[in-house]
Amino acid sequence: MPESVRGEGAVKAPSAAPPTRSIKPASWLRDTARRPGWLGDLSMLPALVVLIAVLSVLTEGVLTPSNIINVCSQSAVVAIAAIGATFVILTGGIDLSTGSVIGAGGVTAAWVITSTGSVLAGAAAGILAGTAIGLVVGTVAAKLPVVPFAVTLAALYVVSGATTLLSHGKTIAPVPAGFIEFSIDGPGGVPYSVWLAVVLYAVAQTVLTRTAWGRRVLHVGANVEVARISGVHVARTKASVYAVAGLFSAIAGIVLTSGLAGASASMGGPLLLNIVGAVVLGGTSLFGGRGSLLRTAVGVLFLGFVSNGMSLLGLASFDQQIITGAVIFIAASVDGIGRWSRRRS
Amino acid sequence: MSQGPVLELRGINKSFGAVQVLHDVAFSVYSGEVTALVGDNGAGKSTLVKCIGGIHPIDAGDYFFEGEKVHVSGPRDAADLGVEIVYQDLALCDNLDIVQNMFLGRERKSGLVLDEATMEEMAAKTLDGLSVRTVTSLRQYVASLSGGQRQTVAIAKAVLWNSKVVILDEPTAALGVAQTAQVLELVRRLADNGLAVVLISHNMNDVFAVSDRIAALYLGRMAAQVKTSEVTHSQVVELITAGRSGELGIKNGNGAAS
Ligand SMILES: Nc1ncnc2c1ncn2[C@@H]1O[C@H](COP(=O)(O)OP(=O)(O)O)[C@@H](O)[C@H]1O
Ligand SMILES: [Mg+2]
Repeated sequence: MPESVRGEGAVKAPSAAPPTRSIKPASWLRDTARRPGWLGDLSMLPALVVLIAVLSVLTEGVLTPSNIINVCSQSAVVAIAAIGATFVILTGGIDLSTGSVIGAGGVTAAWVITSTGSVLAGAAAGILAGTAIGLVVGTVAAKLPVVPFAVTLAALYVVSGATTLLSHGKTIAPVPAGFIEFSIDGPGGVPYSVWLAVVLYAVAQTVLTRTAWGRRVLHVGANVEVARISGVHVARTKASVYAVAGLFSAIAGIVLTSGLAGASASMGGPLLLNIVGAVVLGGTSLFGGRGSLLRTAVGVLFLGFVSNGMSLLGLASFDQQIITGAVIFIAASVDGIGRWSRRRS
Repeated sequence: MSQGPVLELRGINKSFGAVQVLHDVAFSVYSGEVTALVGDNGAGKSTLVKCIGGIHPIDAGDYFFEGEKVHVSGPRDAADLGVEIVYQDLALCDNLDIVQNMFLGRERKSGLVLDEATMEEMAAKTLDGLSVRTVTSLRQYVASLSGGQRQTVAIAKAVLWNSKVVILDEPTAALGVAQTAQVLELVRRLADNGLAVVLISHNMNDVFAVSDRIAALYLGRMAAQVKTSEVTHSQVVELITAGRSGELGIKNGNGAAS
């Protein structure tokens, strides 16, 4: 027999005596065969450390507190939107409408803020709009036999077109100074936007790992057929992750509006690649079922330091793009090769 | 238990588009017994099981559970009755661990969050109750398990819920000799503990080793349901391959092969 039959190895009679030993839950905590927990989620952390080390050698000021805060505040918008993208990708889906919902959420918020003067009302309106768009997109993607790629691509055009139309293609401004301050300063010299991102990551990671809904998301991504026959409401779960993505895109859009001191329909478009890139770079599988917010956080910081480092090096934007591509490829390869060799050992 | 069947189907028809896969199928399952469901490839065994599990809606026919007529329109309905099924190819998720798999879709919660400790404990108890010694860690990915271990976990998943009927669709098809014997032993033990067990298998030796009754499907029709002690190997083989054997089986003119 190639497979080792541990235990007594022989076949017991049907009326065999009860088992003589008991599996004790405590022993599994020390078991090496145990599924990798959150430590396994940090597989890209070494690459991030190497990147920062290399940048520290090549240029000065990378690891100063002010530069680290700078990287974090530059990354806040992508970071927040990437939370929603992570949930979508965990189900095996993809949301290409993220950038347009960032625009829609931001424009809605800015419009309400400029007309009522209330930032709170604006934020609520923006979040409501983004979540509603996400729910519609998700319901269509989940219920119709059309791949999410196509549904969300269509949504990208419809949403950004509608937002442009409603905002007459203009930037909605001015917004109150206190709202702009949100992206500039905060407790400990760290902008509120960064604190917000940190809190949202903590909440989202907890929801993913500790709640039934989070488990559901993993189930649908891991094997949609097994999930279905196990009684999981697959369509409902799929629709919900796009609604959650809409929610986080809208929050990201509001933060971006604060950072840009105004909102325009097209402001989120260029961020899509960074958002999806951060999720994938962190090691969340595009096939679904495997990944976490912890991974995405590392991916976001990785991309943040790449672009920060190249600015510090004074590289032109074309050079930056080429190098960004190369660094992403190297980082992904190192992670992939690492996983491959671990599987073989 | 010599009462009526715990689960009984009558007159089940099921078509996929223009192709009728199940014709007027009757099927009874008894507590404390292993019922072997046999039939050639394509006879409709898996389809019948999926109808029982609520995966496929039935076109016509009656579904009785503990003597009462019920409507099963989804996997949750079947689970609520206490009917658990280990499907042929869809038993477990590879990249989830054992506990996650066993509670898939039915997680234990305390308040808003998952109650991992209770789930681990229940999983451990269930595996212990099955006298399973082959699994070392409840937190290992199912992908890392051998075929026999996977079937064991799948069976444990099925009996975790105080289920009354457990249906196993070809659980030993991919297993070696020793692991097959272990799974069969487990099947027998479940029935001895009072469960109604349905075992789908192609192996006549296995069928005769563990079953109390045999139900033979032939081209989507129930050829015969007999006590295992009252038939021979060759009679069952005839039922599987020809739909009849002497007095048993589909009568001529019944148009089994149309
Ligand atoms: N979802 C489906 N759609 C169409 N035909 C199906 C489907 N499932 C099964 N069939 C057909 O039904 C017949 C019986 O299949 P199945 O129940 O899997 O047989 P068995 O399990 O006895 O080998 C086969 O001819 C198969 O092609
Ligand atoms: Mg089958």
